[in-house]
Amino acid sequence: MRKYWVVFKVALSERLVYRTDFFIATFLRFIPIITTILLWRAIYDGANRTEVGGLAYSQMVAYYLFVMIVRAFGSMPRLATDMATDIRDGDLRKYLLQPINYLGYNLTLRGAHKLVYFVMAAVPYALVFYLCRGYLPEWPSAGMLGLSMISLVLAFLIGFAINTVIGLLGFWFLEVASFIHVFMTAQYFLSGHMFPLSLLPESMQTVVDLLPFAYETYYPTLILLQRLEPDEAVRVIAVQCVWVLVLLLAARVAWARGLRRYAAYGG
Amino acid sequence: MHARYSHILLRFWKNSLIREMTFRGHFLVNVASELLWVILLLTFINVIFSKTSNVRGWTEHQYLFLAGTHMLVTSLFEALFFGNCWRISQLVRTGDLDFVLVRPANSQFLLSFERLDFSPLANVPVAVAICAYALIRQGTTVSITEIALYVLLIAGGVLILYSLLFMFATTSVWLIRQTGVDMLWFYAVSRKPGGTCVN
Amino acid sequence: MPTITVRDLKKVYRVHQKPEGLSASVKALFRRRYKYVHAVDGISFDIQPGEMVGFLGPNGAGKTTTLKILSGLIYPTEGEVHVLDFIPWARKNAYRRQFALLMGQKNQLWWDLPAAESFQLHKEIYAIENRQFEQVQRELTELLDVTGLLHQPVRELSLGERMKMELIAALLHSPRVLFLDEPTIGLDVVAQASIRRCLLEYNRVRKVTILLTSHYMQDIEALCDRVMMINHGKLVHDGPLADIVNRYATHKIVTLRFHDGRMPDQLDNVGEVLEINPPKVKLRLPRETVAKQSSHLLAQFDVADFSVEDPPIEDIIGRMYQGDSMAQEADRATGEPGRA
Repeated sequence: MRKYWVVFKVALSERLVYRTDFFIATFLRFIPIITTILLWRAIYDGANRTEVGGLAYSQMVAYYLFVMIVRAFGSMPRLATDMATDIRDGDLRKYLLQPINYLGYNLTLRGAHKLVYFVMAAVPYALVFYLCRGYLPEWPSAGMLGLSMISLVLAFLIGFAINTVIGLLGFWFLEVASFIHVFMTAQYFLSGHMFPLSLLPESMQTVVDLLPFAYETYYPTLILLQRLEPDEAVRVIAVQCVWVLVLLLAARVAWARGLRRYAAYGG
Repeated sequence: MHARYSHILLRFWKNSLIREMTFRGHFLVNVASELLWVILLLTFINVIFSKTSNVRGWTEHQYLFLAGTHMLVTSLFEALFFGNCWRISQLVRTGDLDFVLVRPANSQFLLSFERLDFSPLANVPVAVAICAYALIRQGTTVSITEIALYVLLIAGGVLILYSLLFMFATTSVWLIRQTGVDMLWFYAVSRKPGGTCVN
Repeated sequence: MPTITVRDLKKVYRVHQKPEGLSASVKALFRRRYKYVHAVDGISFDIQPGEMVGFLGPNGAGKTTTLKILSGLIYPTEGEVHVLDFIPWARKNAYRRQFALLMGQKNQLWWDLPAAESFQLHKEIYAIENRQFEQVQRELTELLDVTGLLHQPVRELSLGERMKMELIAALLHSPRVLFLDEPTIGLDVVAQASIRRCLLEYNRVRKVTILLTSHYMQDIEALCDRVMMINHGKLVHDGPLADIVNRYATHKIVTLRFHDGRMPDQLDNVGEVLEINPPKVKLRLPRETVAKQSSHLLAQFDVADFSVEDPPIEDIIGRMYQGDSMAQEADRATGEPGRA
């Protein structure tokens, strides 16, 4: 177990090196929201309604702000690509020789990255949220806050598991990059990152609910937005747990099967 | 005895095509991916306009035309220039820029046109189709002059994007580590319907 | 009329001193310390048309920098350079059409395409006329024996085959000057020989002026009539390779073969013993005394076979590099200029 702690510490110090890039980059990440929010402003005005997709304008703004937080937990930049590259370029060998589990190693790495990210992004995020405080709901109760935290951690695990499974496809397909691109595009839409899923017609919503993406972003965001009653939130968390188990299992299976195939071909 | 740039350009494109053919599967998946994006975008627009009949005076079809135009400019730019600008910083880093500077032809031309990227190119007819569809459904009639002006402005848009990105790419001579290029591209022209005129 | 003229060429780089330790790093934020690196420090030479000149020198001596200045890739800090009456760093198309640059281990051809397609691109960029292009391409592919490989993607070729294709690309436009930077590095013996043969042929028949840097003595010995040695940015020697041997080879290698079982054991009194492989012995003897010592050995011992040779050039040059560094240190100590 201690070896994972070492990995954690090393990853932490590695990340801290890129400090100045980081501050700027974090602020820049909020820019795409501005155009979206302006668009929604125009839509609300044009629609002459106070509610679109069940959300008032201020809630719509808050939605996109909270999506930023949830995505901070669930996004795994380059995880799938790096894994696929490790497999394709044979770098996997060096991990197999070490007494550390490849998946566990990556999970620890990502955990460290996230931790550093939150520590460093805290100031810019706090600043943005303070400026937009007019749009945000009241502070949640301690109970809801707790549920929110759990949901966020689960979002992290779902994000990790999904990206891992995609990355492990590298055992079977040479050029996974294109799959990854398709997948990212689909995820952008189906996770609620692009717009709240409540805007979709009923039929589409039922389909989307069957996929894990909505539980990676949309539902945790709703919890933060306090659009869900505590029991609904608990339900969401339960479904998240199911997805975490299913996806991690799929990852383990993909890993075992893939490794067998990898060894057979000599990398 | 001077190099004819039109010939060089055709050769670049021919070589790019040959190269693309060797990665056929890759191309098809990319096209599928772009198509998926178009479908999702159209769905989004549909969703928006199911809630409202106009956005700041823009009707659904006008908005669709805007999205199609944006797609047209972006796809043309990505097909012709994006990969090449990105490669500049790579060439600087590996020192392979030397081999471009040694050729008896304009270096900027050689750098900017070397590769033609076919996956975004496949989006161009799609974009044109969307624009045509939007025009027809909106019931607008266009004159030849207007079409000509439109084409001119599209070309202008592509060249503006090219100039901006090329400028950023050349800064890599001073900055060894370039994160600026693709990040800027993503944010400046991020995939939002009608990125610029919303008001 | 020399093809290449270089006068007092200097190239100085300003390098940031990377600070060590925390307080130095903080100070560095306000005031940066610089170090000046004299990559090229006052070099002058002329190269006549059709010469084959080799550039020798340790890594970082300034060989590649000089080559790049001649190719127009780097601006010099000081000095005058003319190649074919052009100033290289003006990068005029008329100049660029007349020379070629080839660097070992670097790839100019399109990776995923057959070489033939890259050659076609070359044809357009260099505006080579159709018939001439066909002819030159055929000649070169036959000379280098790669005719069958023209239509195979470059990435599928071996390193040697790839280098041959690079060489063809460099010669397609019939350049008058050829700059080569470590062209045979990493190649197998057969490929090296093939490339050397091609270069000799081109130099002989077409009078192409060739300037090449290499770490392989076989390249220099096989190809270059004239050798320029560069060390610490300065031209240390300019002349035929044989001159280096004559001037700097202070010792000779004597190989003795004795009749079975009768190896003497006092040989270290005679000279430095390099190798003992009974019944053979290799000794290193000073040049001035080798004749006298040899006759002494022959008289004293029962020698079956005897030969005297120059030490391998690598040795001589290696000592020159070292000697030069030592001379520089001696200069610093005494304040007097040493022998070049």
